[in-house]
Amino acid sequence: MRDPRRASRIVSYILLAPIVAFFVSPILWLIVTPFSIRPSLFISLNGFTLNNFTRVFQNRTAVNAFRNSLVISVSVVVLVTTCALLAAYVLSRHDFKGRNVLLYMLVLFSSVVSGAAAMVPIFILNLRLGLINTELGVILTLSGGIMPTALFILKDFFDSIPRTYEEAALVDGSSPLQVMFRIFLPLSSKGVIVIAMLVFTQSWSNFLVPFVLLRSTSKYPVSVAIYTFFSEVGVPDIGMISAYAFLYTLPVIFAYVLIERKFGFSFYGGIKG
Amino acid sequence: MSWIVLESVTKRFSNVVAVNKVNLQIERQDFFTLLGPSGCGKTTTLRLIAGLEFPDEGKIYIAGRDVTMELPKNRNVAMVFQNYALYPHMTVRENIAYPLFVRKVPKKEIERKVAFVAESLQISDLLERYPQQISGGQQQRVALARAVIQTPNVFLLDEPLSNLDAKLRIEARSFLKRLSMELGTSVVYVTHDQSEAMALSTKIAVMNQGHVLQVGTPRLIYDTPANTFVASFIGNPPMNIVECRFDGSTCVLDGQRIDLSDLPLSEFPKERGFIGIRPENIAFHTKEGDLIGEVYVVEPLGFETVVTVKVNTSSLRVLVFEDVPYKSGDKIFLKLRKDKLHVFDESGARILRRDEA
Repeated sequence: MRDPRRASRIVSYILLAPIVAFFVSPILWLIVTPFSIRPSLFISLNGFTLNNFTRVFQNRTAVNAFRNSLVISVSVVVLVTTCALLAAYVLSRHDFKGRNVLLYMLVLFSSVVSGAAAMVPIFILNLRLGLINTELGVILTLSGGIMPTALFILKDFFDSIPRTYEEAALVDGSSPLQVMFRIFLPLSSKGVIVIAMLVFTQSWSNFLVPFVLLRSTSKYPVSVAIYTFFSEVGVPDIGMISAYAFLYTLPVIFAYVLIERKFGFSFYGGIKG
Repeated sequence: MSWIVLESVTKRFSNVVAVNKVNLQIERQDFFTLLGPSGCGKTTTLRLIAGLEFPDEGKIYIAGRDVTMELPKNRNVAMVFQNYALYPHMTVRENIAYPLFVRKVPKKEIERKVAFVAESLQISDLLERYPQQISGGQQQRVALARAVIQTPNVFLLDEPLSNLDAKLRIEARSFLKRLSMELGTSVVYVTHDQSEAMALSTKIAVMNQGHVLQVGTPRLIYDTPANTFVASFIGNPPMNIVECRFDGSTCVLDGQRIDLSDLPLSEFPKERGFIGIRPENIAFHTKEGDLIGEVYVVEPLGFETVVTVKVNTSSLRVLVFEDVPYKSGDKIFLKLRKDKLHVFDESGARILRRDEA
């Protein structure tokens, strides 16, 4: 007996194959090329070598950029997560006058004004504040850009945590601070970690902000440093770029795997009803 | 002064008045039930006592102290929530110990008390599990354990049985009554289930639309409901309440006249009014009676049988404790027990008898 669904399944495979190839091939290139002796724009492994990596590690700018990226990203994560956590808690748990107007304005400004369009005013703002060519300028600008998204996701997540836990803790004799640290933070830790993760990947991969605000090569994060790997005549050094890009994606993948392992993206409930 | 006092307490949520000038006195030995349909303000009243809401007007006293604007932790109350609200990131043991832990009770004593409470509530083998790993009935016991491990001024229970299945609910009810006797302090209990209220309470306050309609012992509320709302809310099946016209001491119900001159009422309604009688106070008769009707539905429930009888346009429910030979459509006479009959005036308030003050 032939399965009547077979034909349609074959058709869907044919349609899906190019889409899969489109997404998979860059990743394959990224995995294969750094280890290739003669790296090219094609996915081909002709002989195994670690030479490309050695060259990356001998390059001062490249190594420095990793440090810079780490400083910027970790600072942004700490700043955004802390601020978004506190703000989202208040916005989720306290109904004060003008709360909805405030939220609406935040949505409006964060979604309507895109980062690229605001680049010129942001540059001028940083210039006036004397933050051009400083890591602080990059950190603050990136934080400001990611903050609204982080805030909204966290607020939504907090809204989904039933209030009864906190109320039960209050009646059980806790002070408001104890409720925050003993009950609310442990319950919301998953959401907070997911947000921290999101903020990290966003700031780790951002190119435009550091590119516009930073002048000296020694301060470049990885995303901008990659851009400097051209030979004098403007030909890209594919071996080095691929090896560097490979190293560049590792922390993000590592962070994802770690969090998946440790926390698993699921929420557990103890509320019945 | 009573153990817990609410003095004309009012609570509004934006434009809705959830609790309207409520006055309550709860004694230390009371099992006090707030009873009413959903949205009547009973849970809000409980939350006001707990300190989870603050009143817009009025005062609240617990154990002789004005706690109107105090945080919950300064009121020394224990509460069991409808959904139990067991902390999902703590084991059962940590959940039960939490109230003592935040009050900085020495570790040794916490251990001793947890063991004792767990033993008496029969949850000793569950202590290392997490709340989501135990059944609903067990969760309820853990929530109770977390409350009774404290020595609070008052226990507040917010529909703690409503999440249990019917069989477990009856078991838990007896258990709760037994437990409340051992607690030695007042219990304030919220429910919409009148049978729970009747079975457990020493006192019931019936609420509707933010008002307390009547406060009294279950017996008093059952026998002498203050108005038609209380009368129809208490009892299962509920009291029959029929609108009728009064002609002096005679009640005219769809053309049938019932002579009520034997009733020692302080007065009779002028024109329009209601009579109320509980289903168990009506008897069938084949030849004579106060009313004649037609059997509409017969519902045998095993131990008892509920018969709905149509009397012209109104219907009356009759509760009998033997099998009835009637079937739908049969003509039947009804005898009303006059001493158990209530008369309500046009506004629904019960008219007192002369011997009631």
